[in-house]
Amino acid sequence: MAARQATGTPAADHATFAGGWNAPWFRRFRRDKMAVAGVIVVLLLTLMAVFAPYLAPYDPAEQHIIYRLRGPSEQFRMGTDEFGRDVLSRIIYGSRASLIVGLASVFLAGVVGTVIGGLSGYIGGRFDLMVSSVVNVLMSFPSLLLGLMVVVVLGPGTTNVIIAVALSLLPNFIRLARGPVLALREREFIVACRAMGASTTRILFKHVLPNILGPISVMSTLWIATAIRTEASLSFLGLGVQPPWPSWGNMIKSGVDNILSNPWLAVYSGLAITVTVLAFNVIGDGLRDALDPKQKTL
Amino acid sequence: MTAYIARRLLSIIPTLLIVGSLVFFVMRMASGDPAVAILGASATQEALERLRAEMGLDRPLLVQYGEFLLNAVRGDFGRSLITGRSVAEQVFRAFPDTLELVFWGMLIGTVIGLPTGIIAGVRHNSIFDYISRIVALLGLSMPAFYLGILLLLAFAIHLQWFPVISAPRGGFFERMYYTFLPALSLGLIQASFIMRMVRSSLLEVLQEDYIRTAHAKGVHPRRVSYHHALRNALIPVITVMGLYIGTLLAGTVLTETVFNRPGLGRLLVGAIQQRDYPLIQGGLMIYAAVIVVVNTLVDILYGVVDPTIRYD
Repeated sequence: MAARQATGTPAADHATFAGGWNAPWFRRFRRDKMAVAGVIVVLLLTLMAVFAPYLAPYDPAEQHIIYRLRGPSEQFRMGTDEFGRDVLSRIIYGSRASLIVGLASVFLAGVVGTVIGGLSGYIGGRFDLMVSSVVNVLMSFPSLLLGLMVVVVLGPGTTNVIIAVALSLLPNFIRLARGPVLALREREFIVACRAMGASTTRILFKHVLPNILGPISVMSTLWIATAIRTEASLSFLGLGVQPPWPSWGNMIKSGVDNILSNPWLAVYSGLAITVTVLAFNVIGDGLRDALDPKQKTL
Repeated sequence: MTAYIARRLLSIIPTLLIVGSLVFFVMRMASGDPAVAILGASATQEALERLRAEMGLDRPLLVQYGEFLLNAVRGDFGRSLITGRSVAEQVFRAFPDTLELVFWGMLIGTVIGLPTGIIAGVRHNSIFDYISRIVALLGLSMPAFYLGILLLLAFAIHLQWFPVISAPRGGFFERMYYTFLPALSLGLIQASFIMRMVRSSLLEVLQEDYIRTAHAKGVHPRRVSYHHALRNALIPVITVMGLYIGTLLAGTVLTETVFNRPGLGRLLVGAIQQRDYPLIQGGLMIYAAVIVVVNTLVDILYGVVDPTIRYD
């Protein structure tokens, strides 16, 4: 059966999301077992975060002081932390911090970065030069270092971590959006639009944006993984989500502080991070292979 | 060629200038009035003003900014608010330990990642390729500090082969004994990156026309893989490895914390927790300078290994 092709714009058909459930990219994606498994894991994690109060056996902040730093048992499936709080319940609630920070920061960076990058590529000139030189400098910094800098200014806390992680991802999105826009600007169909008198806003939203959405969504998925890792790292350093709110990062921190009395605390919370990041990574890889089979996997 | 290298080296200056400006203004935003930060909120107005005049804080911001840059060029980052010691001295004392960690991490990563990537690429879709890809994906998804914790639990706490606290001292072999576990935790993650990069780069090169030509004219398959393909495949790998040094350096912030190891990362984290702004400023500048210099060197190296790059 002939696959439906992307309609509308003639550019980069393989890298757009057009075509519905039967689109070639989606069929390729469904065949990728790892990626499908990743989607299932992310769905389960989302359900876990949403229904945390129904799933968690205890209140995540409830202290059972006489049972502090116990290993896994019948009563506490994953043991307890230094305040005697149930680790399983805290891991279930901790999924909220990771998912919220991961999704919110990537969304924020994605929207702002695409706008700046798109404008920079489309307008060109001095504005583009300025944006690209700052981006080049920022790109050479690991996201953890940029995140640290922002947290130093704003102070710790969930909202600030979202901003910090978003800012650390921003240069990536700007560069990602700028490149294709630069190439598209000279394409015939864009020149034709301009010749027909379409406004810049219309060209950007109707013709340019759909063409760069493919690569942006692939990288967004991969950067959610980076964002979750950065959140965990900042919280691990005590600069992210603040206790008593559970985050997998700050749980690992208390796990390391008490590693001799209850090693399970660090092991379980780190496992939660690894599984989540892994899931987003395989989805990202799968999406990339499906959208653009020719592109190399890094 | 010489002109190209000179130009690349000169480009370090404006980059460092941007970085320095960023660090200066970010720190000013964070600390507000350094005089208040030093003397505390309960200090008298007179004392504050005296200190401000002493530190030159009563002058225009741009003058202070210029002075900060001048001092930074001379390697002077002021004094720590907590200990009163010179920031440069503290930073430079911590730096070798961090460099040692990064060096061994990089070495372990390359020694494991490079051959694995080559074999996986040459024999792609084999069982070896399949397993190493899964392991590498796991490595990419695991924060280095978590891997560090697992290694610490297994080899230092359970088996007691290595020390729990990594405080490097003594001769070469003794230092290695203290550095091995943290370096391994960074190196294994690094190996995952290198393996995936080498593999995909090799796969791409193997589809090139000149590879088919080499096969067609009867070159031994092994020679095609290792001589014709690998050489070209390694070019992008060098760049990525160079860029990854930055991530590795940042990773030491976490690894040093897990292993209680002295170094620039621990110094920086301590400074952030104590709000010791001059020390944060100095630490960030050193990280930034090293990353910028390494990136430029990698860029130059890239030009040297790839003869197809034009130097204009």
